[in-house]
Amino acid sequence: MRWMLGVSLLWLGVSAPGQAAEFRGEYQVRATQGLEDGDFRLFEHSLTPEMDLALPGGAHMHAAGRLRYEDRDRFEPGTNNDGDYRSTWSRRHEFSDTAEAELLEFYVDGYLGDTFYRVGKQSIAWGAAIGLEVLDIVNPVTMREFILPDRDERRLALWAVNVEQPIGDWMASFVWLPDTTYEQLPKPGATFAFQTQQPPSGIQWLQADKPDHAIADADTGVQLTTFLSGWDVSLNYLYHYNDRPVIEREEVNGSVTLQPVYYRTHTLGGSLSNAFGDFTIRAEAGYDTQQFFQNGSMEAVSGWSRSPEVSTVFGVDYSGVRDWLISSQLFVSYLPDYQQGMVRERRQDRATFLLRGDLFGHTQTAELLLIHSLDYHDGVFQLAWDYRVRSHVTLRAMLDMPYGDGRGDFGQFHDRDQFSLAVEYSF
Amino acid sequence: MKHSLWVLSLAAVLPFTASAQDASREAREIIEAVNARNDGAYVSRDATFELTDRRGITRVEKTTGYRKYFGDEKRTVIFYTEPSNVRGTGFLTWDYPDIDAEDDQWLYLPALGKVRRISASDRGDYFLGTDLTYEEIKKENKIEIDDYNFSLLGESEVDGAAVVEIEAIPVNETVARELGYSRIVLSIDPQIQMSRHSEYWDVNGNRLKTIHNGNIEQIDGIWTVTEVNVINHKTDHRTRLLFENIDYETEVPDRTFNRQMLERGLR
Repeated sequence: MRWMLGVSLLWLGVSAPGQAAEFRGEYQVRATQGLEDGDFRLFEHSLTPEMDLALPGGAHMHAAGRLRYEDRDRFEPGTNNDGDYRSTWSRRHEFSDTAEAELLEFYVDGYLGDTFYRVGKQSIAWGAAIGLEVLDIVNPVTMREFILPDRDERRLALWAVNVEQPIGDWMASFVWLPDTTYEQLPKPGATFAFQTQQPPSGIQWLQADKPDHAIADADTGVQLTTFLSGWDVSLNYLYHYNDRPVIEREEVNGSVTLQPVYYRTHTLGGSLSNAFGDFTIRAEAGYDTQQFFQNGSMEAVSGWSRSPEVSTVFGVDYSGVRDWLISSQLFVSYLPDYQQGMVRERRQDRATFLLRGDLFGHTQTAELLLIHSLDYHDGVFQLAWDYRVRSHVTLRAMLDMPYGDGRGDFGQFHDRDQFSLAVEYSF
Repeated sequence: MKHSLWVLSLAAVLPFTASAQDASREAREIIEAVNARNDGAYVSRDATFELTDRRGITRVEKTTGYRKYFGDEKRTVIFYTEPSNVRGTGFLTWDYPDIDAEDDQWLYLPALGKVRRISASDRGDYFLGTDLTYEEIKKENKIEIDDYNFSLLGESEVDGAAVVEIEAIPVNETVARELGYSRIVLSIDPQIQMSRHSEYWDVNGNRLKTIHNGNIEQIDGIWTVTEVNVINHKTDHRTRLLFENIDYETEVPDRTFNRQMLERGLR
């Protein structure tokens, strides 16, 4: 088992003579109640230990794992489907349908002269947008609970090499990702299973044609960042497989099959941010040389069409009210080679609105987040409240309300409103 | 007759005006000396924040911080190390000597996974739940001289040391609102060119808070505050700030003060 190898490496690290290891972690218990269907859908205990170890030569090792026990088994019913989306090295270990262990991060980093390196399982976040995907595409995400948790919680760390080299006033970051892990969609029957994942009757669903060669199928990219006349600037390029597959249809002797297939694309883009008084401006743009979109509905998939995609985000943060942040973003996606019959519109617009307050001497945080699609008029409304009761104890309450047209990405879950309570203890 | 009265009045007031101007000039010179105090070209240190609310419940947070001068520009970075749920939070400031140039600030929150550019105009906001403002954290016992008009109040004694009491009044209402103060009285020890005690009044003239530098010692030949106690009289919230492992000798690499380091956290 790969995870056992990881644990062994950790143990070897801790046992290294003369090296002091630092341990810490969090334990969280969370309960979630469905509001419309009355389903008590989640009762979860999770333990996330972390370890840092100073290595000779100024290098450093970091490891983080998670043990999770989830009693209700609604989000990933039965055994998990890691084999469909994750590389062999990034799969979880299942003790049972309700208990699992996962290596979340495991890397060594340090400097060789001015060059910074980080090798191992890690997360790499690009771009200036918050919670939206334009340039933040290096790591895939899990859709186990749709987009309701923070993006950082959903991000799947990948085995990768990241090298950062200063070049004049610029910092160049070269990434190489041999880990063929992609966006993890829930299984049919799961609470947040996508409508498009439900197999139509009479149609056979084939195993995904997933890239699996670490060298030939590796993603690679570069990010250049600098600080120019007060602006934070980044230029980005990534040659990668799209994290979400296109569904291909084949009909042989009257028997119809559907198969998810992954395709490569080049993504070029850049981001800008700057602060002006109480306002902070963020902008991000990306250009995908090719994206694939299926034609027709799932019942009548008639193939796919290809088009480049241009995506932009423009965001404004306002912090002129003491201890409050008001933030809004507009996301626009446009297909220059739009074909009639595609399952999406030529142009998709989404807006986000965030209101967050740090209250009572920063012991409590209240947050309201709205993500709204301007096309289907669906979206997600979220309220969250954190109360840091003691240094190491936090209470958390969350209300998640997807709403709107059932054809929309968000509206398909309009009947999945939920309320969660959690207690977190850090040590 | 009317003209003579005016001349007499002016003659009576002039000595006091001249005296007030002298006192103001002397107060400003003391503040200039405070700002010119050697605080090292660079420093690294650990800090413990003990935050106690009105119910007596104390939260403890620990940070590691670095500061370095790049010419007249000062760069400061602070990383949270404890408790685990805030570990990795980082705050980077580039503080420019030109008062008209707005500072540049970045915040890294592990929950976002990205470095976020933040507004530097909120200098009167309290720094992450403490009773010290962003401005006070950034200035480190120094004062932005152009923000205030200063006057000499007299002499006194704090913790057995002779101090000079200086009143600082914001130069205008806008500055007062930005800083959150209408008046400050600083008790400055001229021997070490540092405030030992300061009292603050809010923009409505109500007593707001007290900062007491409880322990001051020489480290690597530099006068350094190692314990700060702050009481917010309006909220009855208290902050005790303890500095340890202060090192002015080991040079801090320039790369410590960039966005990449903020994102990577402590290494």
